[in-house]
Amino acid sequence: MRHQGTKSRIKEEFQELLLGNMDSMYNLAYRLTYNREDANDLVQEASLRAFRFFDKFEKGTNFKAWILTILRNLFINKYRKKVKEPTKVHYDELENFIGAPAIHGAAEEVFGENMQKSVDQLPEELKTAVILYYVDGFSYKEMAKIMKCPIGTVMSRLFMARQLLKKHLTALVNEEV
Amino acid sequence: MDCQKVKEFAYQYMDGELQDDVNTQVKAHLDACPLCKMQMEKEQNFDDFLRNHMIKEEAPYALREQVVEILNTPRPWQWVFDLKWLRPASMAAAMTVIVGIILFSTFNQPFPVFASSVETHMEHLSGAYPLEIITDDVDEALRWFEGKVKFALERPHLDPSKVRLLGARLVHLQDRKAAYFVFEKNGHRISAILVDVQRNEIPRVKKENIYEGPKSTVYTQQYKGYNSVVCQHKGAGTGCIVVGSMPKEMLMGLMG
Repeated sequence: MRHQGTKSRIKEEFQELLLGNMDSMYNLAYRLTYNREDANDLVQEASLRAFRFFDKFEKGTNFKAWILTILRNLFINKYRKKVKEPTKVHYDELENFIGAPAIHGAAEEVFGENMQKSVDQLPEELKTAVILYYVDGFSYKEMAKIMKCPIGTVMSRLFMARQLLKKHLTALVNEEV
Repeated sequence: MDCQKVKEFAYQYMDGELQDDVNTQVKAHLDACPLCKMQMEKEQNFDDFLRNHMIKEEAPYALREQVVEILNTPRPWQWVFDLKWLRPASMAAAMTVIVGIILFSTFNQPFPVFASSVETHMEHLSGAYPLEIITDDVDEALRWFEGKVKFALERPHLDPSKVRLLGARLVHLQDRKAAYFVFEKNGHRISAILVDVQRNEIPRVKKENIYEGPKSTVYTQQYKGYNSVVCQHKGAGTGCIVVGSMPKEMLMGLMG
């Protein structure tokens, strides 16, 4: 059995790492579930699971990436079926590269508010890619590990997401005109 | 490098994911090609715009408190929790489920079936009773028990869509050989014990802890903070015992 002092030191270490990343965890959990109670539960479950497997975590590597992987896997296993998927996207529509609409001045704030909504409407995998890249600042390599896919897939998901978001924003801008 | 190639590398360049030599080539092209440079700037602007308007939710303070509290809960065998089930209580606890089969026998004295099965589960959680057969197939586990126990074997009364089998082994409840199964649900360990126990060996319980169903009678009892549920099947002379520290309604919900 481990010495009591070591156990509590490990717990302190874990707790510090965990609390430092809890915003990222909660953010992803909420963006995936759109339900605050579920997001709470998901974060708690992920925290406990991570604590249970903390001896498997390689010290010095990216804790945030590790724990978000755990959280996302829990989401997929437990909560995914509960969430209503937005309308299916026809990826062939996105073959042509869409130019970014120009947004200036006051228009920025008006359309800016819509960006999160547009992201929320993306299919789950594209949305996850957007959050991991734009909110959490992960590299392609780290994203590939978290989403358990090849780097090429990460790139294509980001690409698709960007095209869709540009398309959506362009439509909004044109509506206003 | 031509414009087409640069277009292919555009996002990787923007995201800072290109290797140095390729990165240099792309940059050189952009410096020399006003059209590509303009396109890149547009993309960069949109990128910044998107990044600036992403909302990052903050974890509520209450959530932080809850997590810290759970991590510091002193019970040594509680290392996994199913919080979704315990949400109303907002407290975490380990769960034990023990399923026993009650068959006709000649014994008449009360058999401490609740106590002994709870003790067995607690001992397993602290490292005793390693599994002798590792399988997630209940039928395979039941075949393994054939010839090892004298009583007729039945599937443990747990809904297979709700729990996953990890393995099984032989144990003794007091001096009786028993078939011991370990299940898992969202990281929780659940023990299921099949043992030869007669209906009138079940210790007495209060009237309000008895539920009459169309096919079975259910008795519930508490021992060392755990709730136990005995499900006695009418007519067939068989039953099962479910023990856990979660509310008894949740335990009953796990049974098939």
